[in-house]
Amino acid sequence: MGIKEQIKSALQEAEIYRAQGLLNEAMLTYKNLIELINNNVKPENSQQLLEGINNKVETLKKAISKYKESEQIPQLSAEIQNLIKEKFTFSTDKESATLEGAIILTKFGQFERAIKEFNKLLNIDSLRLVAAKNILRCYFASSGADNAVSQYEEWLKLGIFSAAQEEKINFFLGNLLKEKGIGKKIVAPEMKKHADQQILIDKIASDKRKTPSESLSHISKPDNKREEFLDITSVGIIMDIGQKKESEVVLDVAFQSEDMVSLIIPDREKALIEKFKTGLKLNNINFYSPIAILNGSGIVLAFSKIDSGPKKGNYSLDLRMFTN
Amino acid sequence: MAVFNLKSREIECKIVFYGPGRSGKTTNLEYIFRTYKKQVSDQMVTIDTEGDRTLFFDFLPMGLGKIKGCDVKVQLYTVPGQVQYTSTRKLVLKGADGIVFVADSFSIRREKNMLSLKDLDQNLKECGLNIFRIPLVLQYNKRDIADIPGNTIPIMPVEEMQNDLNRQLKVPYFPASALSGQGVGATLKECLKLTLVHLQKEFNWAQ
Repeated sequence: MGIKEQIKSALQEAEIYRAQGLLNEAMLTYKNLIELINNNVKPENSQQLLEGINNKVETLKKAISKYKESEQIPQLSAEIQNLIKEKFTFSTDKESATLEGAIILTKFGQFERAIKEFNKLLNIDSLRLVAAKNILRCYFASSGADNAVSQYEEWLKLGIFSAAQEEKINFFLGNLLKEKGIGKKIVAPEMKKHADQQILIDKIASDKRKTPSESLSHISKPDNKREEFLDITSVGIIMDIGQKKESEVVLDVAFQSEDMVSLIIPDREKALIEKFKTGLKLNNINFYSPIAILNGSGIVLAFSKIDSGPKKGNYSLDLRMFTN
Repeated sequence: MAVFNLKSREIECKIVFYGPGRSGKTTNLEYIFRTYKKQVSDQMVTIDTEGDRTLFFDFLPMGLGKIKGCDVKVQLYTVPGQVQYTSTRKLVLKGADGIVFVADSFSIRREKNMLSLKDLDQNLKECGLNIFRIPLVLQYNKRDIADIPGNTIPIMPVEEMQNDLNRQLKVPYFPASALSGQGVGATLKECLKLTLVHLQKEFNWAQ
């Protein structure tokens, strides 16, 4: 094939790629063509041709950048959002399906609608905490950390969560801010009034199904003061777990906020994972800091499997620490 | 996952069109929507972005009528082909009963075809499915380009595509042109046939 035919053929090829939406392939073909012309055609004969090709390359560059700009996720119509909820929700149980529907909206980037759906779930006791956490996540993903913090502060004013829930939300928001590298300080939840606490304590005491250790997680410390803690680097939990009877399991601290720490438990620690549940009181714990080892106890505030990110499959344990 | 209502004798299954970006998945659905009007039970939903690239998915519900005493409904979906939308592809793939893999016949897209098939394999695994077990049909799209007089675009021979994509899978394949519709109906029919036979083993839906 002569040089003229090669040029003609390459031009046709690039044009078809462009028409097919294969913009990068069209760009590559034009660039190869420019090289072919520069190597084989005398400059005085190629100037006009190269100008024409360069114009096409510029048009392609604009199309590629327009495409990249349009990758921002649009807010879809309510009809399509409903379709997404309907078609991508698989739970059969009504409450789980409602939660799954709201979560699926976040996965498709429909944060505004998802926030509305999660807000409805705040009325359901069993879903209140998970809904609140998801609302904060939605604000982080859409309008930013400031809105998440404002929402959290508004909840504190409204007092719609129990003291334990407020603690957990505070801890969760603190973690989110830290993950994003935002050094914003958030207001710690104030302790509920003594009367409210007494009602809560009475309620828990009357619930015979619950063990004393389970009910502890709902009660704030009686003197309403939090212990001041050193920076804890790892936590050694001493407990009876199968063959590891009375042995110490040392877990690294992923995050610390005052007297609460978040620990990551590798999924291989099966026996340990089976043992943990929210509200469990651990009576013998070593808290390792760079300057001292403290002995004390702790209450499991939250325990859940990590569903995404590099630690997916492992477990996250939030623990409140008490020293002896 | 297919839903079989024993009482009303109605089965609903999900077919997903998978493949690299710009291989013609949406064009397949558009052709089906235009051509099989009697079977199409609602509007086709398309969520796309600049340059007509699928952003989330396309959705086309169809009713095939009574087959062996059972009312058969099918939901056709496409996934976004661009590499960066892998999490969306996983969401759409969840619960799929059958797959049409739309490969691009342009030689320049050879690697993209293979990467997309690998991505399908991986995503199926994550959904608890197996590429060797799920009803799967390959479509080698854009064959019409080769028929254009004076065409100089390098097109892969079917044998080469078979060698690249179907050497181990050994599933039915169809040369096609989604733009003209050639091979589109045959691809869909074969995938539906495989899917319904597969679901018969699971639900025993056919009388």
